[in-house]
Amino acid sequence: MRNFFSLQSSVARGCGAILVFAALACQHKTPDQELLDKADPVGAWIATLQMAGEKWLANSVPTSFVKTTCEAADEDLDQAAGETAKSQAGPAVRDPLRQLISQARAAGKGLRRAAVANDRPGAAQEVRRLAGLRSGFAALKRRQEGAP
Amino acid sequence: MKKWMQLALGILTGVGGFFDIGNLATSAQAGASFRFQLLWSLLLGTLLVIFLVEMSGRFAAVTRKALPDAIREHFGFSAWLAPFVVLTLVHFLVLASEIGGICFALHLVTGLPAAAWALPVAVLTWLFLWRSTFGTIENSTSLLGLLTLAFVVAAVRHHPPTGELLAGVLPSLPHHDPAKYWFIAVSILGSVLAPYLFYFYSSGAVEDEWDSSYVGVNRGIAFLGMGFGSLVALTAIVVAALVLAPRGIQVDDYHQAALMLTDAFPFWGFVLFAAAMAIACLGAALEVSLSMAYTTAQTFGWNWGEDLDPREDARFCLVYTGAILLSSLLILFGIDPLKLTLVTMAINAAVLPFVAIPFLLLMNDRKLLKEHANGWISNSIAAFLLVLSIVLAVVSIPLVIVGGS
Repeated sequence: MRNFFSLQSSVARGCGAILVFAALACQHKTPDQELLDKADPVGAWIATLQMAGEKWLANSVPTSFVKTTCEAADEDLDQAAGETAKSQAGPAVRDPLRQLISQARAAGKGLRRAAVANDRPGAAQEVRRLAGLRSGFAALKRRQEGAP
Repeated sequence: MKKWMQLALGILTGVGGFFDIGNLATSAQAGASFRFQLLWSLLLGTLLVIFLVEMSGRFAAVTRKALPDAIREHFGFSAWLAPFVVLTLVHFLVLASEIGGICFALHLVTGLPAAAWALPVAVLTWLFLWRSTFGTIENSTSLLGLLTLAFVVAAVRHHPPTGELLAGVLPSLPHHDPAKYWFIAVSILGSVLAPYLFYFYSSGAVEDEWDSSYVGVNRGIAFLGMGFGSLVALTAIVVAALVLAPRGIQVDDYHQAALMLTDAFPFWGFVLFAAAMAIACLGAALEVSLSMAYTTAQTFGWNWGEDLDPREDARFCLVYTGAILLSSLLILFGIDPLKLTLVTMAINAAVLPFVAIPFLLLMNDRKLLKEHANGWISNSIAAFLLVLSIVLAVVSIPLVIVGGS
């Protein structure tokens, strides 16, 4: 039994290494594509903040949830901003993305402030801003996917 | 009559006790990222878990021995030691994920950091184990776990498209992110085929003093309880696919999953999600802690039993006490509970051969099980599981590296 387990683990290690190399080899992408793929969480966080704001306005989630969601989003967006700055992608992709992330962070902070202050018109305004950013992100991705 | 009551209760506990943090995390990610495309993975896992749970219950009922006990006796201590150590480490990560899930649910409701809840949750979990009998733990948490049926109601309210649902039952290749797709597929299998479940179930059957007359009851619990239980996980995929995916929300953080029920239940959805998450994780945390204590005690031949006074099985109690304390430290030190869960589920899949191989050898031992040994249907499923478990062992860790980031 013990021999079986040790044989199996060496086979697993060997096959695992082959799979990792194969997967990495297949993942050859241009820096622009790579950056946009890495930026997927940015789009997801913008959509999350928008939904959290909408649900807060509809009294479906508590203020503490909006506050902590905005904080979690800001942490991830900050990380994404760092990765974007370091990316080798061309300015046509990198600059609008950096701008988008910066605006998303500002909108998140605005939403958090509005929710804590129970400022409903302010929150609604941030939700509209986030909806615009979401469309902007989708357009950026579409443009890149359409590019040769 | 008593057996029918046990069957009904067993099915209820199967439904209520099936769903845990692994199912929640992997279902939410699957639905949000790939809509219904990964339903096949859950259905495959469910089919296999039904057979494995049935086999582990049948084994315990006929031999009156729990699995780790029988494996040690049959294959010897030294052959079992390495798998035991590996499984204990994996169970430790699963326990930390479950404790992390409870902490995160409390964080959602209170706004306090999840890490701040680690020690209070550990104490609560430990107190529950220290003060309760096996029956109380099994029935109370699982009956409360019926709250997870909120996902079923939500899925029905969203009127999922039948054609797309049916298409998801058949395996298909992803249109994007293949590494992530396969990573989630493997994690779903790991979450459903969690090794602790089989050790817990067989030890529980011994605690409940099952004998050969319970083989039919066991079959009913395994097929109906596990079958209906997986419905909750399936509907969690459906809800994530219909609520999060259209908005472009992927689940990289539990805050994103927490919005899942708010469309179906505008007022109660958020609270329902947090409550379902906390209860499902508490039930699973109790099961994993007990499973670790059962496995360790049976491996070393100590006294064991949740119904015994702690003075009679001090080392058994010490194992779950230490396991709860140590795993809560992972959360206290700020490890991301979602990332921990997803990686742990993939590792669950990787260690499946350690569970499957000795188990399936035992199930074919006619000296032990006589006419209750595996027939050709169980063995066909077992052979498939064996091949699948070896494939999963090979691919799961590379997938964590490539697709789990």
